[in-house]
Amino acid sequence: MKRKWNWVDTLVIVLIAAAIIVFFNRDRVAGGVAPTNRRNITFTVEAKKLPRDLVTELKTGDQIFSQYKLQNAYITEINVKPTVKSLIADDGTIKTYDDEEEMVLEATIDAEVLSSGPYLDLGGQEIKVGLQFILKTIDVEVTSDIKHIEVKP
Amino acid sequence: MKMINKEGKVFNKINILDLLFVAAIAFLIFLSVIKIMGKDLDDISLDSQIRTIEAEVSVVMDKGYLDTIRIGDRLGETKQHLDAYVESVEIEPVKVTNVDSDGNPVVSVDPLKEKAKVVFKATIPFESNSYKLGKQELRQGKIIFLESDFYRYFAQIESIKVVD
Repeated sequence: MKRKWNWVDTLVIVLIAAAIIVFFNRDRVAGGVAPTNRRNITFTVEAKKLPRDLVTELKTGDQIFSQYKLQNAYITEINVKPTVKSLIADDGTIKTYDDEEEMVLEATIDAEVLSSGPYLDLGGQEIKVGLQFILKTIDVEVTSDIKHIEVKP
Repeated sequence: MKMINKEGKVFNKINILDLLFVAAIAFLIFLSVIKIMGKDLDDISLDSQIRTIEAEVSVVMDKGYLDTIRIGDRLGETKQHLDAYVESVEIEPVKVTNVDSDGNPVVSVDPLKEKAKVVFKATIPFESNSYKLGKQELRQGKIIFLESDFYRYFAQIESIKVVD
């Protein structure tokens, strides 16, 4: 007697195999790699090479704006200083001087961020020292570098 | 007996198109399993072993950008922590060689930069003759991402020592 291939049996076997695999990897399937939590951090950013008269609108208390909404993040400190540049002196050593025409804006921000494993997110931007951060309020938007991060107690 | 008969059946049992379809489904399930297990196809290797290594890396940045590295920091990759921890951190000046007005070389300190020498210990797979920190292969001289909850730097591997 010629036996026919039974597709229903095959489908059941495939589904059972998939269910077993999912069961033994349920932690990974459920949450990716780590649950998402909220963390309060303070971070400092530096926006460089700014003309002297730029970002006069930025002030302490301004709220970070991104993804078309105000984020739970506030500027707590602003410091504008001249850019420190370097040159090689006649004796071969490196000397520094202040360039008063090119300013550095340093802003400290208190923020509640979403964290998932080692990933911190504020309004769609990853927060990590070494990465860029778009410092954006309702009035100002400049590109900055994240310089320091502290976890708030 | 022919492998595929005139009706297109393999060994007179299953249609060649059906067989290809089943093979495609099986391959998709295989890829899904690999994905669920957090691995790549490259990771599938029979000679995988777990080893503990100690690596020394150096990071050069503008001054003030390296204070966030702390002993005990757990390293990670995107949204995944790894079994790797910072054992020691030393901040050093960055030395550069320039020439004076007479053309003599002069070694001096770059006042705008600093260097962190970081040692981390990691228990990681050794497969296909490579230590894998997440998806990154570790080799002396290679530039890798040194990443924790609070930083992601470019770091150059200065040495790797197998501890266990």
